[in-house]
Amino acid sequence: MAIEIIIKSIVGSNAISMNTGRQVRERIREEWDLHEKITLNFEGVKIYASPFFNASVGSLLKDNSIENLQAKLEFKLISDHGKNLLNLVIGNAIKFYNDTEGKTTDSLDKIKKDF
Amino acid sequence: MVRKWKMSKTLYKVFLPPIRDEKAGIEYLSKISEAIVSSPEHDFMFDFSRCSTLSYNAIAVIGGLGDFLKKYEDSVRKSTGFGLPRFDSLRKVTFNIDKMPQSIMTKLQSLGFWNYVKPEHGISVNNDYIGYRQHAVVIQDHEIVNHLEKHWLTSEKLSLSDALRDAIISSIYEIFVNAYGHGLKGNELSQSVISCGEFDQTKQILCLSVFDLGGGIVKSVQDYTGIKDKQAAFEWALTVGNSTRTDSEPDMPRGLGFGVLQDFVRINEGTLKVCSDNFIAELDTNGNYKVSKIQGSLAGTLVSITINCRKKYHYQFQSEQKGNSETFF
Repeated sequence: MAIEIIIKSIVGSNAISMNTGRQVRERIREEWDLHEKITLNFEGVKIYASPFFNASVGSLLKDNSIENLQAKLEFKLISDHGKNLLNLVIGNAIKFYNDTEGKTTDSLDKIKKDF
Repeated sequence: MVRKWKMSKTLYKVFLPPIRDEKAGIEYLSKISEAIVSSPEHDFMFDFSRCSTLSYNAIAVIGGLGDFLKKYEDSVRKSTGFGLPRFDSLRKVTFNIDKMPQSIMTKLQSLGFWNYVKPEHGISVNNDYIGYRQHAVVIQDHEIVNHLEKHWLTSEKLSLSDALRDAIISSIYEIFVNAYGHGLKGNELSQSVISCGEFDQTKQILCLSVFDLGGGIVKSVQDYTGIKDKQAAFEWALTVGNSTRTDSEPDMPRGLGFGVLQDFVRINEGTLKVCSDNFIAELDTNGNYKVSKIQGSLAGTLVSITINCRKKYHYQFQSEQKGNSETFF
Protein backbone atom coordinates (compact mmCIF):
# COMPACT_ATOMS: atom_id res chain seq x y z
CA MET A 1 0.00 0.00 0.00
CA ALA A 2 1.15 3.53 -0.69
CA ILE A 3 0.45 6.85 0.92
CA GLU A 4 0.98 10.41 -0.20
CA ILE A 5 2.02 13.15 2.21
CA ILE A 6 1.14 16.64 1.03
CA ILE A 7 4.11 18.71 2.11
CA LYS A 8 2.39 22.05 1.57
CA SER A 9 -0.22 21.16 4.18
CA ILE A 10 2.57 20.86 6.75
CA VAL A 11 5.04 23.57 5.77
CA GLY A 12 3.14 26.00 3.52
CA SER A 13 4.95 27.15 0.40
CA ASN A 14 8.42 27.30 1.99
CA ALA A 15 10.25 24.08 2.78
CA ILE A 16 13.14 25.80 4.48
CA SER A 17 13.41 25.49 8.23
CA MET A 18 14.65 22.76 10.48
CA ASN A 19 11.47 22.93 12.55
CA THR A 20 9.13 22.19 9.66
CA GLY A 21 11.59 19.56 8.45
CA ARG A 22 11.25 17.81 11.81
CA GLN A 23 7.47 17.84 11.45
CA VAL A 24 7.71 16.16 8.06
CA ARG A 25 10.17 13.59 9.42
CA GLU A 26 7.76 12.69 12.23
CA ARG A 27 4.98 12.27 9.69
CA ILE A 28 7.19 9.99 7.58
CA ARG A 29 8.09 7.93 10.65
CA GLU A 30 4.42 7.50 11.53
CA GLU A 31 3.76 6.02 8.10
CA TRP A 32 7.03 4.13 7.66
CA ASP A 33 5.96 0.66 8.82
CA LEU A 34 2.40 0.99 7.60
CA HIS A 35 3.11 1.53 3.92
CA GLU A 36 5.32 0.06 1.26
CA LYS A 37 5.75 3.38 -0.47
CA ILE A 38 5.56 6.94 0.85
CA THR A 39 5.21 9.71 -1.70
CA LEU A 40 6.19 13.21 -0.64
CA ASN A 41 4.15 15.53 -2.79
CA PHE A 42 5.69 19.00 -3.08
CA GLU A 43 2.98 20.58 -5.18
CA GLY A 44 2.69 24.27 -4.26
CA VAL A 45 6.05 24.37 -2.49
CA LYS A 46 8.27 27.03 -4.04
CA ILE A 47 11.27 27.68 -1.85
CA TYR A 48 13.62 25.01 -0.54
CA ALA A 49 16.59 25.19 1.81
CA SER A 50 19.02 22.67 3.23
CA PRO A 51 17.94 22.85 6.92
CA PHE A 52 14.52 21.51 5.89
CA PHE A 53 15.97 18.54 4.00
CA ASN A 54 18.56 17.84 6.69
CA ALA A 55 15.81 17.49 9.29
CA SER A 56 13.17 15.77 7.16
CA VAL A 57 15.12 13.34 4.95
CA GLY A 58 18.84 13.51 5.81
CA SER A 59 18.26 12.49 9.42
CA LEU A 60 16.32 9.38 8.32
CA LEU A 61 19.67 7.97 7.20
CA LYS A 62 20.64 7.62 10.84
CA ASP A 63 18.49 4.49 11.10
CA ASN A 64 18.09 3.54 7.46
CA SER A 65 20.35 2.74 4.57
CA ILE A 66 20.13 4.81 1.42
CA GLU A 67 18.71 1.76 -0.39
CA ASN A 68 15.85 1.58 2.13
CA LEU A 69 15.19 5.25 1.58
CA GLN A 70 15.21 4.85 -2.18
CA ALA A 71 12.83 1.94 -1.96
CA LYS A 72 10.45 3.66 0.43
CA LEU A 73 10.34 7.31 -0.58
CA GLU A 74 9.20 8.99 -3.73
CA PHE A 75 9.44 12.73 -4.43
CA LYS A 76 6.69 14.17 -6.53
CA LEU A 77 6.44 17.63 -8.12
CA ILE A 78 9.64 18.86 -6.51
CA SER A 79 11.42 21.66 -8.38
CA ASP A 80 14.83 21.13 -10.00
CA HIS A 81 16.41 23.34 -7.37
CA GLY A 82 14.65 21.41 -4.61
CA LYS A 83 15.82 18.11 -6.04
CA ASN A 84 19.36 19.41 -6.37
CA LEU A 85 19.37 20.40 -2.70
CA LEU A 86 17.80 17.11 -1.67
CA ASN A 87 20.58 15.16 -3.38
CA LEU A 88 23.24 17.41 -1.86
CA VAL A 89 21.75 16.84 1.59
CA ILE A 90 21.57 13.07 1.13
CA GLY A 91 25.18 12.85 -0.06
CA ASN A 92 26.25 14.86 2.97
CA ALA A 93 24.10 12.79 5.36
CA ILE A 94 25.59 9.53 4.07
CA LYS A 95 29.09 10.86 4.74
CA PHE A 96 28.02 12.23 8.13
CA TYR A 97 26.57 8.96 9.43
CA ASN A 98 29.38 6.99 7.85
CA ASP A 99 31.89 9.05 9.76
CA THR A 100 30.05 9.01 13.04
CA GLU A 101 28.34 5.64 13.18
CA GLY A 102 29.54 3.48 10.34
CA LYS A 103 26.04 2.31 9.52
CA THR A 104 26.05 3.12 5.85
CA THR A 105 28.90 1.20 4.38
CA ASP A 106 28.20 1.26 0.68
CA SER A 107 30.25 3.64 -1.34
CA LEU A 108 28.49 6.64 -2.81
CA ASP A 109 29.32 5.51 -6.33
CA LYS A 110 27.64 2.16 -5.83
CA ILE A 111 24.32 3.56 -4.77
CA LYS A 112 24.09 6.56 -7.04
CA LYS A 113 21.42 6.30 -9.61
CA ASP A 114 19.92 8.49 -12.22
CA PHE A 115 16.50 9.76 -11.48
CA MET B 1 41.45 56.69 10.13
CA VAL B 2 40.07 56.88 13.67
CA ARG B 3 41.07 60.24 15.10
CA LYS B 4 40.93 61.08 18.78
CA TRP B 5 38.56 64.01 19.20
CA LYS B 6 39.01 64.86 22.85
CA MET B 7 40.06 63.30 26.11
CA SER B 8 38.07 61.93 29.11
CA LYS B 9 34.92 60.24 27.76
CA THR B 10 36.57 60.00 24.41
CA LEU B 11 34.80 60.79 21.18
CA TYR B 12 36.51 59.25 18.19
CA LYS B 13 35.92 60.60 14.73
CA VAL B 14 35.94 57.90 12.06
CA PHE B 15 36.78 59.53 8.73
CA LEU B 16 35.37 57.21 6.10
CA PRO B 17 37.36 57.05 2.86
CA PRO B 18 35.81 55.84 -0.42
CA ILE B 19 34.97 52.18 0.26
CA ARG B 20 34.49 49.92 -2.75
CA ASP B 21 33.48 46.28 -3.08
CA GLU B 22 37.06 45.03 -3.14
CA LYS B 23 39.61 43.55 -0.77
CA ALA B 24 41.05 46.94 0.26
CA GLY B 25 37.55 48.09 1.18
CA ILE B 26 36.96 45.03 3.31
CA GLU B 27 40.35 45.50 4.98
CA TYR B 28 39.39 49.03 5.94
CA LEU B 29 36.07 47.81 7.37
CA SER B 30 37.91 45.12 9.25
CA LYS B 31 40.23 47.70 10.82
CA ILE B 32 37.45 50.01 12.01
CA SER B 33 35.51 47.01 13.26
CA GLU B 34 38.48 45.92 15.34
CA ALA B 35 39.04 49.43 16.70
CA ILE B 36 35.40 49.96 17.68
CA VAL B 37 34.57 46.52 19.06
CA SER B 38 37.70 46.53 21.22
CA SER B 39 36.79 49.93 22.76
CA PRO B 40 32.99 50.13 22.96
CA GLU B 41 33.12 52.31 26.06
CA HIS B 42 34.02 55.31 23.88
CA ASP B 43 31.80 57.39 21.60
CA PHE B 44 32.15 57.33 17.82
CA MET B 45 31.25 59.74 15.07
CA PHE B 46 31.23 58.52 11.46
CA ASP B 47 32.31 61.35 9.21
CA PHE B 48 31.38 61.07 5.52
CA SER B 49 33.07 64.24 4.28
CA ARG B 50 35.88 62.33 2.53
CA CYS B 51 33.72 59.49 1.30
CA SER B 52 32.86 59.61 -2.39
CA THR B 53 31.65 56.02 -2.74
CA LEU B 54 30.25 53.48 -0.30
CA SER B 55 29.71 49.82 -1.12
CA TYR B 56 26.81 47.74 0.16
CA ASN B 57 29.36 45.87 2.31
CA ALA B 58 30.44 49.12 3.92
CA ILE B 59 26.87 50.18 4.61
CA ALA B 60 26.11 46.83 6.29
CA VAL B 61 29.24 46.97 8.46
CA ILE B 62 28.82 50.63 9.46
CA GLY B 63 25.17 49.96 10.33
CA GLY B 64 26.17 46.86 12.27
CA LEU B 65 28.80 48.74 14.24
CA GLY B 66 26.27 51.46 15.05
CA ASP B 67 23.81 48.81 16.25
CA PHE B 68 26.56 47.21 18.34
CA LEU B 69 27.42 50.51 20.02
CA LYS B 70 23.80 51.30 20.81
CA LYS B 71 23.18 47.84 22.26
CA TYR B 72 26.39 48.09 24.27
CA GLU B 73 25.24 51.43 25.65
CA ASP B 74 21.84 49.94 26.53
CA SER B 75 23.48 47.08 28.40
CA VAL B 76 25.71 49.46 30.37
CA ARG B 77 22.75 51.66 31.17
CA LYS B 78 20.75 48.70 32.43
CA SER B 79 23.57 47.51 34.64
CA THR B 80 24.56 50.89 36.06
CA GLY B 81 21.76 53.41 35.74
CA PHE B 82 18.52 51.59 36.52
CA GLY B 83 17.49 51.85 32.87
CA LEU B 84 17.55 55.64 32.77
CA PRO B 85 19.26 57.22 29.76
CA ARG B 86 22.59 58.81 30.51
CA PHE B 87 22.81 62.49 29.66
CA ASP B 88 25.36 61.76 26.92
CA SER B 89 23.90 58.51 25.52
CA LEU B 90 22.77 60.21 22.31
CA ARG B 91 26.43 60.85 21.53
CA LYS B 92 27.34 57.17 21.57
CA VAL B 93 27.21 56.84 17.81
CA THR B 94 26.67 59.82 15.56
CA PHE B 95 26.97 60.62 11.86
CA ASN B 96 28.51 63.82 10.60
CA ILE B 97 26.71 64.60 7.37
CA ASP B 98 27.68 68.26 7.03
CA LYS B 99 30.06 67.77 4.13
CA MET B 100 28.69 64.46 2.94
CA PRO B 101 28.57 64.26 -0.89
CA GLN B 102 24.97 64.47 -2.09
CA SER B 103 25.34 61.19 -3.99
CA ILE B 104 26.14 59.36 -0.75
CA MET B 105 23.27 61.02 1.09
CA THR B 106 20.85 60.06 -1.68
CA LYS B 107 22.13 56.50 -1.71
CA LEU B 108 21.78 56.08 2.06
CA GLN B 109 18.26 57.51 1.93
CA SER B 110 17.13 55.35 -0.96
CA LEU B 111 18.65 52.21 0.59
CA GLY B 112 16.71 52.88 3.79
CA PHE B 113 19.85 53.16 5.92
CA TRP B 114 18.57 56.13 7.91
CA ASN B 115 15.25 54.36 8.59
CA TYR B 116 17.05 52.24 11.14
CA VAL B 117 20.08 54.30 12.00
CA LYS B 118 19.07 57.96 12.13
CA PRO B 119 15.52 58.65 10.87
CA GLU B 120 15.97 62.41 11.13
CA HIS B 121 18.39 62.23 8.18
CA GLY B 122 15.58 61.16 5.85
CA ILE B 123 13.70 57.90 5.63
CA SER B 124 12.63 55.82 2.69
CA VAL B 125 8.85 55.72 2.81
CA ASN B 126 8.45 52.82 0.40
CA ASN B 127 8.78 49.55 2.29
CA ASP B 128 9.52 47.59 -0.88
CA TYR B 129 13.01 48.96 -1.38
CA ILE B 130 16.03 46.76 -1.95
CA GLY B 131 18.42 48.10 0.62
CA TYR B 132 19.46 48.16 4.25
CA ARG B 133 17.68 46.27 7.00
CA GLN B 134 18.21 45.23 10.60
CA HIS B 135 16.60 41.90 11.34
CA ALA B 136 15.13 40.41 14.50
CA VAL B 137 17.37 38.77 17.05
CA VAL B 138 15.71 35.41 16.43
CA ILE B 139 15.38 34.15 12.87
CA GLN B 140 11.90 34.54 11.41
CA ASP B 141 12.07 32.00 8.59
CA HIS B 142 8.93 32.78 6.69
CA GLU B 143 9.24 36.50 7.27
CA ILE B 144 12.63 36.58 5.55
CA VAL B 145 11.47 34.48 2.61
CA ASN B 146 8.19 36.35 2.19
CA HIS B 147 10.00 39.63 2.30
CA LEU B 148 12.48 38.54 -0.35
CA GLU B 149 9.75 37.10 -2.53
CA LYS B 150 7.04 39.71 -2.20
CA HIS B 151 9.03 42.90 -1.77
CA TRP B 152 12.61 42.41 -2.91
CA LEU B 153 12.60 40.22 -5.96
CA THR B 154 9.34 41.24 -7.56
CA SER B 155 8.96 41.09 -11.33
CA GLU B 156 8.55 44.89 -11.40
CA LYS B 157 12.06 45.34 -10.06
CA LEU B 158 13.87 42.39 -11.57
CA SER B 159 13.36 40.24 -14.59
CA LEU B 160 14.07 36.74 -13.37
CA SER B 161 12.87 33.29 -14.31
CA ASP B 162 10.87 31.65 -11.52
CA ALA B 163 13.55 29.00 -11.10
CA LEU B 164 16.34 31.54 -10.68
CA ARG B 165 14.28 33.71 -8.33
CA ASP B 166 13.43 30.74 -6.11
CA ALA B 167 17.07 29.64 -6.08
CA ILE B 168 18.22 33.17 -5.16
CA ILE B 169 15.75 33.28 -2.26
CA SER B 170 16.87 29.87 -1.14
CA SER B 171 20.56 30.87 -1.28
CA ILE B 172 19.98 34.13 0.59
CA TYR B 173 18.04 32.24 3.23
CA GLU B 174 21.06 29.95 3.69
CA ILE B 175 23.19 33.06 4.39
CA PHE B 176 20.76 34.15 7.09
CA VAL B 177 20.71 30.69 8.64
CA ASN B 178 24.48 30.89 8.84
CA ALA B 179 24.39 34.34 10.44
CA TYR B 180 21.85 33.28 13.04
CA GLY B 181 23.63 29.98 13.63
CA HIS B 182 27.22 30.44 14.69
CA GLY B 183 27.03 34.19 14.15
CA LEU B 184 24.72 35.15 16.95
CA LYS B 185 25.35 32.18 19.19
CA GLY B 186 25.51 33.58 22.72
CA ASN B 187 24.31 36.96 21.49
CA GLU B 188 24.70 38.74 24.81
CA LEU B 189 23.89 42.21 23.52
CA SER B 190 20.82 41.08 21.49
CA GLN B 191 22.33 42.46 18.32
CA SER B 192 20.50 42.38 15.02
CA VAL B 193 21.60 40.62 11.87
CA ILE B 194 22.21 43.34 9.28
CA SER B 195 21.63 43.06 5.56
CA CYS B 196 22.25 45.50 2.76
CA GLY B 197 21.18 44.84 -0.79
CA GLU B 198 21.59 46.84 -3.95
CA PHE B 199 20.53 46.29 -7.53
CA ASP B 200 22.69 47.64 -10.35
CA GLN B 201 20.20 48.32 -13.15
CA THR B 202 22.87 48.84 -15.80
CA LYS B 203 24.81 45.66 -15.14
CA GLN B 204 21.74 43.75 -13.94
CA ILE B 205 23.64 42.57 -10.89
CA LEU B 206 22.06 42.02 -7.49
CA CYS B 207 24.41 42.53 -4.54
CA LEU B 208 23.77 41.54 -0.96
CA SER B 209 25.74 41.62 2.27
CA VAL B 210 24.70 39.94 5.48
CA PHE B 211 26.66 40.96 8.56
CA ASP B 212 26.52 39.83 12.15
CA LEU B 213 28.66 40.87 15.06
CA GLY B 214 28.55 37.55 16.84
CA GLY B 215 31.64 35.66 17.87
CA GLY B 216 32.76 35.05 14.29
CA ILE B 217 33.57 31.88 12.40
CA VAL B 218 37.07 31.30 13.77
CA LYS B 219 36.14 31.44 17.45
CA SER B 220 33.00 29.42 16.90
CA VAL B 221 34.93 26.64 15.12
CA GLN B 222 37.79 26.71 17.61
CA ASP B 223 35.34 26.36 20.51
CA TYR B 224 33.59 23.46 18.81
CA THR B 225 36.50 21.54 17.28
CA GLY B 226 39.52 22.55 19.31
CA ILE B 227 41.41 23.44 16.12
CA LYS B 228 44.14 25.84 17.27
CA ASP B 229 45.30 27.29 13.96
CA LYS B 230 43.01 30.18 13.08
CA GLN B 231 43.23 29.80 9.32
CA ALA B 232 42.57 26.07 9.58
CA ALA B 233 39.50 26.82 11.72
CA PHE B 234 38.23 29.33 9.14
CA GLU B 235 38.77 26.86 6.28
CA TRP B 236 37.06 24.09 8.27
CA ALA B 237 33.84 26.13 8.34
CA LEU B 238 33.86 26.46 4.55
CA THR B 239 34.07 22.72 3.97
CA VAL B 240 30.82 21.08 2.96
CA GLY B 241 29.39 19.02 5.81
CA ASN B 242 31.17 20.84 8.63
CA SER B 243 28.97 22.60 11.13
CA THR B 244 29.28 23.83 14.69
CA ARG B 245 25.82 22.38 15.42
CA THR B 246 24.26 25.20 17.31
CA ASP B 247 20.90 23.64 18.13
CA SER B 248 19.58 20.81 20.22
CA GLU B 249 19.81 17.91 17.78
CA PRO B 250 23.50 16.97 17.70
CA ASP B 251 23.17 13.85 15.54
CA MET B 252 21.61 15.54 12.53
CA PRO B 253 23.70 16.23 9.44
CA ARG B 254 24.18 19.92 8.62
CA GLY B 255 26.80 22.26 7.27
CA LEU B 256 25.58 22.81 3.73
CA GLY B 257 24.99 26.54 3.77
CA PHE B 258 28.32 27.57 2.25
CA GLY B 259 28.26 24.53 -0.05
CA VAL B 260 24.85 25.50 -1.44
CA LEU B 261 26.04 29.05 -1.99
CA GLN B 262 29.24 27.85 -3.61
CA ASP B 263 27.29 25.76 -6.08
CA PHE B 264 24.80 28.49 -6.89
CA VAL B 265 27.41 31.23 -7.36
CA ARG B 266 29.56 28.98 -9.56
CA ILE B 267 26.65 28.30 -11.91
CA ASN B 268 25.58 31.94 -11.90
CA GLU B 269 29.16 33.20 -12.40
CA GLY B 270 28.58 35.58 -9.52
CA THR B 271 30.93 36.37 -6.66
CA LEU B 272 30.96 35.25 -3.06
CA LYS B 273 33.08 36.55 -0.20
CA VAL B 274 33.09 35.33 3.38
CA CYS B 275 35.03 37.43 5.82
CA SER B 276 35.65 36.88 9.51
CA ASP B 277 38.48 37.62 11.93
CA ASN B 278 41.49 38.38 9.71
CA PHE B 279 40.56 36.05 6.85
CA ILE B 280 38.66 36.42 3.65
CA ALA B 281 37.46 33.58 1.41
CA GLU B 282 36.59 34.29 -2.20
CA LEU B 283 35.35 31.87 -4.82
CA ASP B 284 37.69 31.41 -7.77
CA THR B 285 36.45 30.79 -11.30
CA ASN B 286 36.31 27.03 -10.67
CA GLY B 287 34.01 27.57 -7.71
CA ASN B 288 36.63 26.79 -5.05
CA TYR B 289 37.25 28.94 -2.00
CA LYS B 290 40.53 30.80 -1.95
CA VAL B 291 41.42 31.97 1.55
CA SER B 292 43.76 34.85 2.27
CA LYS B 293 44.68 36.99 5.25
CA ILE B 294 43.53 40.56 5.58
CA GLN B 295 44.68 43.43 7.74
CA GLY B 296 42.64 44.17 10.83
CA SER B 297 40.22 41.75 12.39
CA LEU B 298 36.56 41.79 11.47
CA ALA B 299 34.47 41.04 14.52
CA GLY B 300 31.62 38.76 13.49
CA THR B 301 31.05 37.54 9.96
CA LEU B 302 30.36 39.29 6.68
CA VAL B 303 28.97 37.29 3.78
CA SER B 304 28.77 39.15 0.51
CA ILE B 305 27.28 37.85 -2.71
CA THR B 306 26.69 39.23 -6.20
CA ILE B 307 24.22 37.54 -8.51
CA ASN B 308 23.96 37.95 -12.29
CA CYS B 309 20.36 38.56 -13.35
CA ARG B 310 20.71 38.89 -17.12
CA LYS B 311 18.57 36.56 -19.21
CA LYS B 312 21.60 34.51 -20.25
CA TYR B 313 21.97 33.41 -16.62
CA HIS B 314 18.33 32.32 -16.32
CA TYR B 315 18.88 29.67 -18.98
CA GLN B 316 22.34 28.80 -17.77
CA PHE B 317 20.96 28.20 -14.31
CA GLN B 318 18.13 25.99 -15.53
CA SER B 319 20.37 23.79 -17.63
CA GLU B 320 23.34 23.53 -15.28
CA GLN B 321 21.63 22.92 -11.98
CA LYS B 322 20.63 19.47 -13.14
CA GLY B 323 23.16 16.73 -12.72
CA ASN B 324 25.86 18.60 -10.83
CA SER B 325 25.60 16.76 -7.57
CA GLU B 326 25.31 13.05 -6.91
CA THR B 327 21.79 11.92 -7.61
CA PHE B 328 19.95 9.56 -5.31
CA PHE B 329 16.42 10.58 -6.27
